[in-house]
Amino acid sequence: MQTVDKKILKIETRTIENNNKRYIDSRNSILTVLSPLAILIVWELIVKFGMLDSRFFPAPTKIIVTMFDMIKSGVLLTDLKVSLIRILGGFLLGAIPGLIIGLTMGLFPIVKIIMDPIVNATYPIPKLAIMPLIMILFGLTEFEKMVVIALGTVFLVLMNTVAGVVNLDKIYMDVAKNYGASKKGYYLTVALPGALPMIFTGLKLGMGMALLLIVASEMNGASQGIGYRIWASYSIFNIPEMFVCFIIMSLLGYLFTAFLDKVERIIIPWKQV
Amino acid sequence: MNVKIKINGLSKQFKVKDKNVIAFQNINLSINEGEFWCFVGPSGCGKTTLLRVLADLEVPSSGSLEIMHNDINKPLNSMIFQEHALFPWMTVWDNIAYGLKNRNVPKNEIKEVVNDFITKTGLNDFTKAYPHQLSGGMRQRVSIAMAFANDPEILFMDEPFASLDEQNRIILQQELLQIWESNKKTVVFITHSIDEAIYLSDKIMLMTSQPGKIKSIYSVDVPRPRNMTEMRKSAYFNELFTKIWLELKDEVKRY
Repeated sequence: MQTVDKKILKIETRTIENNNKRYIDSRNSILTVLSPLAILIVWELIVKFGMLDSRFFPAPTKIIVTMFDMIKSGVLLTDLKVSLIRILGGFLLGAIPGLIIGLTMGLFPIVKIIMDPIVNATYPIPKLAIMPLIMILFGLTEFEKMVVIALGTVFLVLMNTVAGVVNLDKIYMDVAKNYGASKKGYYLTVALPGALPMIFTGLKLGMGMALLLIVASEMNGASQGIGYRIWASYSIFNIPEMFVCFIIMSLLGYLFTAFLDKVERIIIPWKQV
Repeated sequence: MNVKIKINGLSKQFKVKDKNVIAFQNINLSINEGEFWCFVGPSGCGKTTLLRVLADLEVPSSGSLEIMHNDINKPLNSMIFQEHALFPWMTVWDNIAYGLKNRNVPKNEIKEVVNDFITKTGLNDFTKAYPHQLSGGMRQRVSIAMAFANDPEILFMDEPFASLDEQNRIILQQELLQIWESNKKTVVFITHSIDEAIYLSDKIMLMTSQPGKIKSIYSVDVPRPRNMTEMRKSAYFNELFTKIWLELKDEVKRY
């Protein structure tokens, strides 16, 4: 006979605490608001106590007051409107040809073979380096600023679109062929929707680039615009106004991304998140 | 019975890094109209490549292939692929209607056919769903409905149930047979599973390991409609299973 010696070595108790999903969700959303708020408060305090030079880092309250002044005088809204038109105009001027050329390159190998060396040779040239040439070509006009932004956008949209079409899983081509798709049908029902996720990646990157380039393009030959305002504030050493412009840029970036995300969800309802 | 597919000395080889790889070699086979064939063989024996050649997705290196196309208004073949072959950007309904839409079938006719196969495959609640929202079993039901709705003369199936769990596989095998028995299209079905081959097919072609050649051909003489549980209990099933396995075992080991 065998005797089995049973000993309880350890009783594991797992209390279920903080396991409530709703609790975690609300905690997380509070934290997302609190963390930037905390930085602002600390910033405000150390400026108030003179530990940070208020000439370079004006207190947040000072920035907010400046912002209201700029809104009241109408300067901010005019700048915003002018910049928005330039950004959107430039973005479309780059994104639409980028999309069209990208799709053609992706669908027709011969076009890709012809275009690849041209794209690869021109893409690495810094857009800022070509800016003087564009200024000579188009003058210090609105169109010139849009062209600068378009040049930054076009490559990102184009290259992502090509990748989206070319890297499409081969099995979709097999299915389309086996189920009798015409060439046109294949482009419209398979290649284009299949490339959409990558196209949107390109559009988002292009939008980021547009925000980057607006500041550079408004550096010369502009008398209005958020980018212009940053340089103007700099030249008269009006740092709080500069910070207001930073905030506006950051807000623009956030809004554009949110907008594109929303459009993406509508156009690509099948995308797995 | 009319011959549907006639294969004469068909071979296919690839070049992989300057080395010739023979996928399959000297295949001679006649498939009659309305027959259900399974090609069984070890991994890498070229059975999928053979199927792709039959489906005109690849060209053979040598030999000849004759497929009778009786009704030029119908597609010759439709393929059911392994998985992930549904278009992610189309709903279940649009996927099933894809072949019909490509042939410009009148809209109300498409609607009728698609809805019919949606009912037959039990997809009624999922017509507006996208493939990624479905389970593997449901996705393959869509693939089956997509192929049958296209109403081809021949169905090619490339291990359509390989990625399913066993319980779902059995259910889908039964559903497939039910649909197939009502219209008796010619079928060529690729599988690894001997069980599956015996349960589904009229004829089983066993292939050798690479390079794939015909090793032997078995007939499954069980009347239809078939009952899977009854079949599995029978001595005939077990005998056939053992015979095929003993032959296949050597090929799997050799590879």
